[in-house]
Amino acid sequence: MSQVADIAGPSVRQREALVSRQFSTDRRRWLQLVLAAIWVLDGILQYQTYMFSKDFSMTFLAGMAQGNPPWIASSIVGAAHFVASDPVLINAGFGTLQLGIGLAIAFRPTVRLGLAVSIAWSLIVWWFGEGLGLLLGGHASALSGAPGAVLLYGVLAVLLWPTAKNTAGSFVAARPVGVPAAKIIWAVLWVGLAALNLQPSQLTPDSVHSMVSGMSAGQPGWVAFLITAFSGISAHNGVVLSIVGAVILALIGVGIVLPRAFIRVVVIAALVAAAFIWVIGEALGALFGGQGTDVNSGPLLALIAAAYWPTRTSADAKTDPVAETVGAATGASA
Amino acid sequence: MIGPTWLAAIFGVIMLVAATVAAVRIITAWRAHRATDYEIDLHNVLMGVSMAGMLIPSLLVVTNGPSTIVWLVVWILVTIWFGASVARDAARRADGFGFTGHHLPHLVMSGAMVYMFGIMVAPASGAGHSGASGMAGMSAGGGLIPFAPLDFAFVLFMVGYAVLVVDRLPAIASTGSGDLQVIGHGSNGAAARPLAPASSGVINIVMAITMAYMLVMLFA
Repeated sequence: MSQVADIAGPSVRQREALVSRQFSTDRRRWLQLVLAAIWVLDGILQYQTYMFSKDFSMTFLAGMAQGNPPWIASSIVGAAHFVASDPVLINAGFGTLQLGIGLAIAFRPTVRLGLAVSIAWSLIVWWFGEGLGLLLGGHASALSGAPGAVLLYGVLAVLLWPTAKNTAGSFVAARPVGVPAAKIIWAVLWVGLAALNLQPSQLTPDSVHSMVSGMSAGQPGWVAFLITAFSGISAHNGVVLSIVGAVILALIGVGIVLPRAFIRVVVIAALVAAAFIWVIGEALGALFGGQGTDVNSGPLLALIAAAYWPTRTSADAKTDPVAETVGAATGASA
Repeated sequence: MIGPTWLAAIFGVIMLVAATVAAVRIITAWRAHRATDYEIDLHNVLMGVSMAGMLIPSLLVVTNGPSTIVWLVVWILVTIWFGASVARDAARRADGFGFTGHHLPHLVMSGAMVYMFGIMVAPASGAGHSGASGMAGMSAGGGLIPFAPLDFAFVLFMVGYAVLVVDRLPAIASTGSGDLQVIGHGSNGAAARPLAPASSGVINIVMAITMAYMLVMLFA
């Protein structure tokens, strides 16, 4: 026989209320949790069979050296050889580290540790695993994942760093670095992506078509349909599409200086652009097929955009639930 | 696609440990008159054994053929059970009883189990390895798996759920979660304390991550 009476401590409703009070989740904490989830997913993706093969290191990783200056290329090839020396052990370490970063960010007492490690790891992977996003090769494009998805993890770790700083009336990303610096980061990111669209390699008739035409293979029907449709439009229209894309990205970038009422429009435009990049240019990160190592840049650009959504009230920015929790646990103020 | 055999074995062993801990929770709660959410504990036992069977084919818990169909039926029934629980939760919430949404993740997990066993059973899935068992029988044969977006949605849910439980683990450890009840011979007069609430949370985390791993392995 079971009974619901005589339970020591709070009732279900009281427990939920206690959890809500002690572990309030503001907008920044939600964004941290999304970032944590992406890291956990990346860790799991790293456990796929292909990543344990020498082909992953000698073809996928070493391939990132192409187009980079010789001294950078040689460091990437060297790293690929290192991974190939024991791909099982080293890749297991990669996956476990990424899983650990995600769990550390999700666990409030270790959120700072998780974010700090994620910054270091993202820089390492950006160099050796993504060839600096191929930025130096002259072929990088927002549509193909520039500036390198993993770099955006580091940017997010900075923008979502827990701090008790009060920036009421601005946005989440401004809390750790201040409003001016946060706006500069936004502008550099989006205007930088716009500039990539204006590289000579992008201003050719088939520049966009060549990027997306092969992306539909192995994708779910609706994704393949959208990619194929855009691929048809992009044929021989690379110059126009690159310029239009550059204008849109640049407007998003400079739009951050507009008055507060317009920033929501700018952020929504950024979210739409991120979704377009993710679906059309990145085919949902090319996760289906067993060779996707991460979700690619689309979701991360969207997460960054969400961090710039204007806060509705000052109450949202007044307290830091992570700092409160850690402070309560340690008896110290964060 | 089973993924690296040794890695699947590690996840399988973790599942067996998790199932054992969940079973010990039920027994301990029964004998010591401690409070636990036995519905969730039972679910975790069942899920741990099922996933271990898929991850480690040599356990012969899950084999192609009748046993897979039996498991599929079991998980359909469990899904219906948790569907009813979620509906009951919604009704209680509508009556202002308070939030008891912890059944929803277990409904989705049960649905994911139905999905995975369904792929093993369905002849159209390309799982035509007659001698295969466990997750080896879940290969999509080089093509896109059936209902790939659903698979992806399950993965996202599992990862999100694991992260949320980790976030709230300290609170769960101090206050417990779910519908805590005393099972066994009834109250001995003293108020029953929740039984190791943190362990229940940790089990849910490892279950969700392992299930996400298994669903991701279907991508290939």
